[in-house]
Amino acid sequence: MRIYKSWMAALVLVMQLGMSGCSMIVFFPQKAAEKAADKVLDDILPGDSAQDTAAKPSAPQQP
Amino acid sequence: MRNFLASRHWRQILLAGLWLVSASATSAEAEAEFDVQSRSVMAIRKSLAERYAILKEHFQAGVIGFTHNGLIATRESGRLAPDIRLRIELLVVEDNKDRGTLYREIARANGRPDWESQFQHVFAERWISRAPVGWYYRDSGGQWVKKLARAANDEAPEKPFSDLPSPGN
Repeated sequence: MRIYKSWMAALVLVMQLGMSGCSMIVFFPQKAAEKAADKVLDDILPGDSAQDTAAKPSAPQQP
Repeated sequence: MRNFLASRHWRQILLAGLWLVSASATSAEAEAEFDVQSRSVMAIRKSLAERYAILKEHFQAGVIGFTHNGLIATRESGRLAPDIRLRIELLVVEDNKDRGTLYREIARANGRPDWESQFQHVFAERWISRAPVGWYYRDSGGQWVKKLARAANDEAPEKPFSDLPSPGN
């Protein structure tokens, strides 16, 4: 019984450490960065941009 | 303990933990929005916009172009008169200085100075994607490429930014 409890405690500890470690890792938000870049480029390239759809939702294509 | 290991409890705990971690990472990414309006960033945006008005004709003429790492470079300045060439080269140097500062300031203003290269990577892609047809960019192999109009069914061209660090953490 004692072994069982210590094993459980170790598991909980490892899980907590893992989760706190993972919460410190923040993935680079690519989409948000693209949106921010587009905001800046809207200022700098007013009306000159190509009609690029890479970061913008495109209209559904006809079959 | 043997009973516990034989049961599915430990797997369920592990799966729950993994789900929590992935859910928190996903929500953090979905909610993120970067500030690009700090005083320093706005000053650089203004400076870049003003210089762009001067550089635009040289982009159109193919004298300068974008590079794969979010900067600009002279392409065919040899055919220009020396005084004009010098003037363009100075503008390019100033512009690249501003661009470097822009990426650094955006990263800093958002509390992640370690993301400067990721921002630079994203901007590099957006500069080239949004450049008008007929303008030039230099790919990661050092080759100048003229941006062509793409048909809807064409495959996307090879990304010219492959030698930059890929966006990560």
